[in-house]
Formats: sequence, structure tokens, C-alpha cells
Amino acid sequence: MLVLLPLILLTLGALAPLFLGRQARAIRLVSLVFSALALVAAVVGIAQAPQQVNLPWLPALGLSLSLQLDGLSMFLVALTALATLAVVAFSDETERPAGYYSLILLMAATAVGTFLSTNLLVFYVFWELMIIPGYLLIGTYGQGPDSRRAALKFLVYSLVPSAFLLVAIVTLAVAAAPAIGHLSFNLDQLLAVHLPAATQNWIFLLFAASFMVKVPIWPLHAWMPDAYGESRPQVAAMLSGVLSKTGLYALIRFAFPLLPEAARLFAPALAVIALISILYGAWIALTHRDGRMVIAYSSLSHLGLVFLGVVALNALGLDGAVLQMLNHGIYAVALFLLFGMVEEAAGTRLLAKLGGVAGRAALFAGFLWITVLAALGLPGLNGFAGEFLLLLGIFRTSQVWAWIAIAAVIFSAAYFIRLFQLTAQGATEVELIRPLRLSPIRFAVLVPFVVLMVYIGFAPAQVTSRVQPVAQSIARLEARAALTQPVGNYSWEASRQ
Amino acid sequence: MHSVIVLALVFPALGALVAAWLGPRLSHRQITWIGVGAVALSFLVAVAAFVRLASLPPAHRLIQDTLFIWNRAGATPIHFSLLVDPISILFMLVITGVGALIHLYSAGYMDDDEGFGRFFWQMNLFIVAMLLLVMAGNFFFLLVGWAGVGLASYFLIGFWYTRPTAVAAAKKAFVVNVVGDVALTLAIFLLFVNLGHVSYQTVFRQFAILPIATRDLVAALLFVAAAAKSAQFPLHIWLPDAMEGPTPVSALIHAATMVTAGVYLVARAFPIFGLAPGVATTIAWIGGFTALFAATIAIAQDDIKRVLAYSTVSQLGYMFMAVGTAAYAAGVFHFLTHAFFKALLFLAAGSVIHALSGEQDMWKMGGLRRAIPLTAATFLVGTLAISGIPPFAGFFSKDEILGGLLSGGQVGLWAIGTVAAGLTAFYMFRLYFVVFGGSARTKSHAHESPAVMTVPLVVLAVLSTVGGFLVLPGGYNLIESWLLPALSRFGPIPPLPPPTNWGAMAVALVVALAGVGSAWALYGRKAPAVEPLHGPVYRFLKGKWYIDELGDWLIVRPVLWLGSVLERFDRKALDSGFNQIGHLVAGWGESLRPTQSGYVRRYALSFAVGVMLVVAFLSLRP
Repeated sequence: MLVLLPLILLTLGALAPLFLGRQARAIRLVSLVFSALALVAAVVGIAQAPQQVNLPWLPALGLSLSLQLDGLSMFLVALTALATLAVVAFSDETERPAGYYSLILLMAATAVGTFLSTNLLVFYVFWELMIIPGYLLIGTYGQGPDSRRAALKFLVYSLVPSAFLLVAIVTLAVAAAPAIGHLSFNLDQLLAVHLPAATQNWIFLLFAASFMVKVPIWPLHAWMPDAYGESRPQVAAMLSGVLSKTGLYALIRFAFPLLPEAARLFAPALAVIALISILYGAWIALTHRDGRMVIAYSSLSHLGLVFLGVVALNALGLDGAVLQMLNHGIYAVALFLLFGMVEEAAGTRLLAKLGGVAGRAALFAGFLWITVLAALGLPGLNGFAGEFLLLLGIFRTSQVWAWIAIAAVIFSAAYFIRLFQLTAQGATEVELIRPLRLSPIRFAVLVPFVVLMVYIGFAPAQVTSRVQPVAQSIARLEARAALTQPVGNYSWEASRQ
Repeated sequence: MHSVIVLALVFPALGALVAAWLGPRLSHRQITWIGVGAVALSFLVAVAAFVRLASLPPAHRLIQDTLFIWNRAGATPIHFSLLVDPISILFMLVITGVGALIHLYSAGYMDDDEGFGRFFWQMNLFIVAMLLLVMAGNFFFLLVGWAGVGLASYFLIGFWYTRPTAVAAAKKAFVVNVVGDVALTLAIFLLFVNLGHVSYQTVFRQFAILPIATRDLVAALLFVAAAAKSAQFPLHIWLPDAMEGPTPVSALIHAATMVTAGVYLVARAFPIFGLAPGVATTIAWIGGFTALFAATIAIAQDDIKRVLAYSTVSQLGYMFMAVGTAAYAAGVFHFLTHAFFKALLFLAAGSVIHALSGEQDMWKMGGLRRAIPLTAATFLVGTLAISGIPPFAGFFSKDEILGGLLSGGQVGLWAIGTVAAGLTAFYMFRLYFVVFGGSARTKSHAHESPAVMTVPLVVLAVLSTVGGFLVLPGGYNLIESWLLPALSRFGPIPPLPPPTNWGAMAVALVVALAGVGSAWALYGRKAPAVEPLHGPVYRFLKGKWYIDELGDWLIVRPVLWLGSVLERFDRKALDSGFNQIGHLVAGWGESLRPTQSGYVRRYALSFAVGVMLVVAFLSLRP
């Protein structure tokens, strides 16, 4: 039952504020406690994994509450709890606090649900539920003048693919039913079925498109600038740190293993899209005047690299992808939250108007600095460990992809250094509306982030050794697909080793 | 012994941590003890390792220590392992020895700075990263150190972070260095994917089995990395700007140690370059071109530190000429003497700047040999050494390179190197005469620096004087006999250096004296008040061949321009473009649902169009 604990705790935490009325402090405290407890449960879960829970629900429909905690999901569950804790700690007074904190924890709970479910319908339910807090947090608790429009855009970009996704899931289960003997949505059973290539192809397309929107991957990212820009920094942290991972996770967990031949068929095309994401995001991040948008587009670029690692279809790439999902979650959440503090203190997020923060708040600047270094992939910190493994996996599949993708590393250095310098250094000193002081709670919450950046940087094996079994089993599926289907379009890659 | 060498890293790491954590609460004196002490202890470890190595039979001079598994890439573990052999120990001794002297000097130089604690922890951090770079037992941790020194260098160039020029220079240095990091990463990938390993020993043993194209590619990538770190043309652009950092930083990082990392890499990975002769030749020629090119620029610079910066670029070019022609011992020898005399020159220049309260324009100086005689004397020693005047250190090491080139049949490279040597003598004595000769050009109250600064100057002056005696003309070559067993451990033994080429030595000496003579004629005898040179060539050299402008126009501006274009595209075209298509498609629905909000429909349709485009693209897969 340990598997369920983070999910239960976050759900309880989402419900609790509703009983506390307008007592803002109490609500925040309760949310903090529940997300901290969920984090503890998730960390214990890492020690106890792998675990599985199977509760029959509606057997006739092939429905069962199947939850699984393994190398793929355990770090993402822990990341979600950690991100939630930080987001709560970094949230200030707000109107209608009960709703705000409740929605944050609900978003976390539904995300954890998607990470744990191994029944496709249950997964789908969590996936759909996740849209509600997202929509409301962007819209009603938004910050920008256009937040309602942004929320609507998010809603549409979520609901339309969901419809596709449902069609794809049902088609998959129906197509697999004869082989299984009954209708089943269980991943384990579905994995054993080999579907004909034509069926695989279009189910894969629907899967991939729906999941890629959530990451997002170019050109399905049009909702992202609005959603990240119009919402509060705390919500942007949640969207980028946690929600984006659900899309990548679903690709790794469902789309690629269930439809390996289709994955192989589309891999080169998906790689092109991933490469465009990587460069496109990096290029925009390089010149954007808005600091938060620099972080947003850096996510487009970095998650594009993770996607490319998945598309590389080998164990190294997958291993690196999971590691980097965790890493990105850590540094992106910290970046959005820290920069959010600057935004709130300075009343602007235009980089040209910021500067000189380091002189005012050395400790704060120190945290921002180490986070930026982790994000730009400095060896010794976590971002590098993931990037190295990812690029190595990509390199193994295609040197051309790796050569292009690695350009993003140079861009990354340039735009993150620019972000830091324009915020913290330089001759201009920004007028601060309020002091940039880290409260004890915020300080305490930031410490584990920094510890993780350093620890994973030095001992990534702690993560990768747990991911490897899953990565290898998925890679084996893909490799088997390569044998059953000698795909012509891989021949252009004769150079790969 | 096995566990001891890691202490060389531990001491400065602790120093950095303590100074960073407690810095604000410690006095300058305490920070000095911690900062200098950490590096001095590290130096003692290096000395102990050196003694240990020397006591071993030549073929077994190797200390290896594997500490833990960093990560597994598939089945292959990547170890955190250290390797100390005759090559790395020389670098370690210089890094910690010269490093300790420069730390000591900094205690005086930075005493007035409110960032004193920050300065010391960042300097200690640099020592850690630099030691890791030379002590790493595999390419992976070489990369970690490689990027680490880039970071420390970034920190220290931008030390005065409220100065826009310093911030810009730091960013430029970092980005150019990352280009090198990326090249090194790609080289490691190639080695890993082809050989399944990244440890030096395995890679060097198996490198010969790779196809020629792969070998050349690996070697070329390693060289790009080396060129970025060691400021070889055209990746030299960051180094002159790096002079924005405090002068001790320029001495330690941008003269004595970090910028020689590229030389270390080529010497370390010599079995790779030995099997990629085409790349090696290219290295030598780029080194030769850089040596000459940077020397011509140094002639026309007015900032005392910029002259020294270009002279560093030029001297690094000499080292690459040597290692590119497989004269590894000569290259390492020149690294050693250069570390002494260039650190000396920078620290003496720092003493001048300190004495004049921050003035760096040499045309506002003059007559300083009377005001600060000790600084002047030590600067003169450094100038004599770099100009190749016997018996100072630079004479021997430069001759070792030039003589080797001529004897090896590289007449073109030899000629370039010799001309550059003449230019070196010219611009260095120009600098000396303008700064220390004649009389003061502006009023100043120059005062000699405190002992904490002058003692390191004197020690380095002594080393710059006697350092060359490790190799004497006529076959006495301590460096060679020290390095050869280490070099011959893997694969082919590099060719023995040819016997002393007395002809090359005589020519070099005459050319150097000619350089000194012309500097005397132009700047020494009459002590002009302003630069007597002018004309288009002079302006071209003063403009640094306009390489910065060229890079700005060819790379920086187009990249930034495309960035802003994409940003506009993303904001307008992609978004509203999809919406527009949605509108067209939605036209028919207008009459059916007149009351519905337009947004939902538009987004839905724009999204659908997006998905359709993706699906269409995927269906037209390559």
C-alpha cells in the first residue's frame, strides 16, 4: 500500500483546505505538512520499490486499479512531492487561499496518479483530471492581463488531444482483446500482444501527438508561452516541473513499449521534431527580453533533448531521459520560483530593467547561481549527468543528431549566463519594491534542491542504477521490433556504431 | 601513497568551502592563512608524490587511485580515478607551487577589496578544478576539470561584477570555453562508442584499431577543445578580454596554468595525435600562426596587461608548435619556464598597477624604475626571459622548440617562430622602456608594494633565471629523461629530440637582440611621450586584426538576429497563423454556433491544424 501513500496524502492535502475556510495561514501550513509527508512517503517508496498494487474494479470492462512504483515512476513521484512542497512554501498570500492551495495539491495528486497507473483507463482518468487544476490555476489565479485567454488556450490544447487519446486507448484495447481473450486496459497484458503494423502506426500517432502537447514539443507548444507567462511563477513552476513530465513519462511508459514497431518507424521523423524543439527553444531563450520566458523556452529546448533521448530508442538514452526528467524538474522548479521572487520584488521581469541583485541579496543570488549552473549543465552538478548520458545515447543511435543537439549546450551556457548576469550582476541596480529575503521556510526548502543538484551530479548512479532495469526492458522491446521489421528508413544511418 | 594524492584536491577544496562559508566572519589575515595554506599543503602533497615517483624505476612511475564509480553508462562503469605520472606531476607542481606564490601575492594585492573572501574561495576552487584536470585518470574527469576551470575562470574574470566590461568579458570567456567543452565531449563520445571505454590506458592502447577517419576526428575535436582553452586562433578572442579580472587571476589562470591545459591535453593524449599526423601538423601550423599573429598585435597595444595577454597567446602558440611536431618534452619545458616568467611579468605588472592605484595605460606611466626599483628589476628579469636572452629561462626553452623545428625539417615553422621571437623581444622591451624608462608622464605617487607581494616576485624572478638550466645545450636534458618513460608507456615512442642546433640558437639570439635594439631605438633612447608608430598597418594591429569585429558580424549578430526573428515568429506567426487557418476552416461553422465564444473554436481548430501538420509530417517521414 506504500505505493498509494503519496497519492492519498496529496489528495487529502487537496481536500483539507476546503474545511479551513479563509484561514490563510492554517491552509498554507496544512498544505506544507501534507506535501512534506507525501515527500517522505515518496522517498521511502524509492527505498522499497519496485512495488505493485492491483485492485479489481470493473473486471468486465477490463478495469482495475493497477499502480506500479518502479525505476521509471519513483523519482517522478518524489519530484512531484518535492516540487509541491517548494511551490507551497514559495506561495504568498492570495485571494481565495483555500482554492489555490487545494488546486496545487490536486494537480500534484493527479500527476502522481498518472505516474503510478499501469491501467490505461485509470491513467486516462488522472490525465483528464489534471486539466482542471491546470485550467483554474492559470485562469482564476492568473497574474497577467490575459490569464483567462491563456487558461482557455491551455484547456483546448488539453481537451482536444485528450479526445484523441481516448480514441487511441480504446482502439488499442479493442484491437488487443482477441489476443488477450477479453477486454483489458492493463499495461502488462497489452505489452504481450503484438499488433499489426498498420494499427500500431495510427494509434502511435495519436498517442505521440497527445503526449507531446503536454511536454510541450514544437510545434505543439503554442499554449506554453501564454500559460507560463500569464500564470503566477509558482504555477509556472508546477507546469514546467511536474506537468511536462507526465507527457514524457507517458511516451516512455505507454507509447514506445506498446507500439514498438511504429515507434521505430516514426523515430527519425520524431527526432527531427525534437531537434527543432531543441534549437528553436534555445534560440528564442537566447534573446528573449522577458526573464521568465527565457526559462520557459529553455524548458522547450531541454525537454526536447530528453525527447530526443527517448527517440534514440536505446537503454542509454532512456536511462538518461529519466535522469534528466528528474534533473530538469529540480532545476526548473527552483528557477521559476527564484526568478519569481525577483519578479515580485522588482515588479518586473524584463531583463533590461533588472540587475545588481547579487549586491542586495548575496544568499539569494547564491541559490540562483547554483541553480543556473545546474541548468546549464556544469559538470559536477545534476544537469550535466543527465545531459551526458542522454547525448551519449543519442550519439549511439545517430551521430548527426548528437552533433546538432549538442549545439544546445553552447546556447544553454549563453542564455543562462545572460539570465543570471542581467538579473544579479551588472551596473544597473534594480529598484526593489520589497526586500529579496529568503524566509526560514523557503531557505529550508531550497536546501534539498541544492543538495540534490550536487548529490546527483556526483553520484548519478544512485538514480540510473534504479532506472536501468526499466530502460533496458523497454530498449529490448524496441530492439526486438527492429528485428521483426527491417525498416528501410534506418539505412541512411549506416554510420552508427 | 594511494590514498594520499587525493589530498592534493582535498586541501584546496576544504579551503574553498571554509572561505566561502565563513568568509564574511573571518578577518583578511585568517582568510589568507586558509587560502594560501590550502594551496601550500597541496603543493607539499605534490612534492611528496614527485619524490615518490622519482624513487620508482622509470618504467613504473605511475600512481593510480580509483575512488568510486560515478555512473554506469550501460554496462561500462565510469570511475572517478586519479592518475599521477611524470607528465601530470610537472603540471601539479606548477599549479600548486606557482599557485601558492600567487595566492600569497594576492593577500597584499586584494587587501583593499571588499570581496577578499570571495576572491580566495574562488581561487582555491580554481586550484581544485585545475588539479582535477591534470590528475584525472580518464577522459571523463578530464572533462569535469576542464569545465570546472572554465567556471572558476568565469567567476574570477567577472570578479568585479558591477563593471559591465568585466561581466561581458566573463560571459565571452565562458561561452568560448563551452565550445571547447562541447568538442571534448564529442571526442569522448566517439571514444566511448567505438572503444567502450574512456580511461586513458584503455583508449591509448586500443586507439590504433580505429579507422583513420575516426582517429582524425577524435584528434581534431581534442584540438578544438585545446585551442579554446589555450586561446589558439581563432578561439583566442576571449583571453585578452579576460584581463578584466584582478591581476593575480591573470597571472595564475590566464598565463601560468589554465591556458596551458590545451598543451597538457595534447601532451597527455599524444598517442592519439601520434596516430593522426595530419591533425598534428595542423596543430603545429595553427600554433605557429597564432605565435606570430598575437605577437604582431602585442606590438600595438597600450594596456600593460593586454600586451602581456597577447604575449601569452603568442607563447602558447610556441608550445603548440612543439607538441604538434611531437616535441612533447620541448613543449612541456616551455610551459614550465613560461609559467615562471609569465606569472612573474603579470605579478610585476600588478605591482605597477597597484603602485599607480589602478592605472593600466603604459603611456601614463614612465620612469618607474626609480620609484619601484624591486618591481622594475623583477619585471626586467621576466622581460629578458621571455625575450630569449641567455642565461634566462626562456632562452633555453624557446631554443629547444626552434632548434627542434629546424632540425626536424620544419623550416617554415622555424622561420615563423624566429620572426615571432624577434617581435616578442621588441614588444616586451617596448613595454619595459615605456613603463620603467624615461621619466614620469603623469604625476603619481608610486610606492613599492608590501613584502607579501614582492617576495613572490623575487622567488619567481629566481625561477625565471635558473629554470632554464633543466635543459642545457649539448645534450643535458632533465625534462626529456623525466618524461620519456611516461611517454613511451603507451604505444609509439615519440622521436628523440635532435641534438642542439647551434645555428638556430645563434639566429634566434641575433633576432632577439635585434628586437631589443629596435625597441631601444624607438622607445628607450628618447623616451617618447606618445606612441611614435602610426599608419594603416599600425591601426590594423592596434585593432587586433579586427577579429572581434569579424566574429561579431559573422556569428554573434546573425545568431541574435535569428533569435529575435524566431521570437517574433513564435509570438505572432505560429500562434496566430494557426489561428488564421483555424478561422478559414471555421468559417462554415459561424452560422451554426453564433453564440459560442470564438476563442475555444479558434484554439481547437488551430490545435487541430497543428496536429494535422505533425501527422502529415510524420507520414511523409524521411
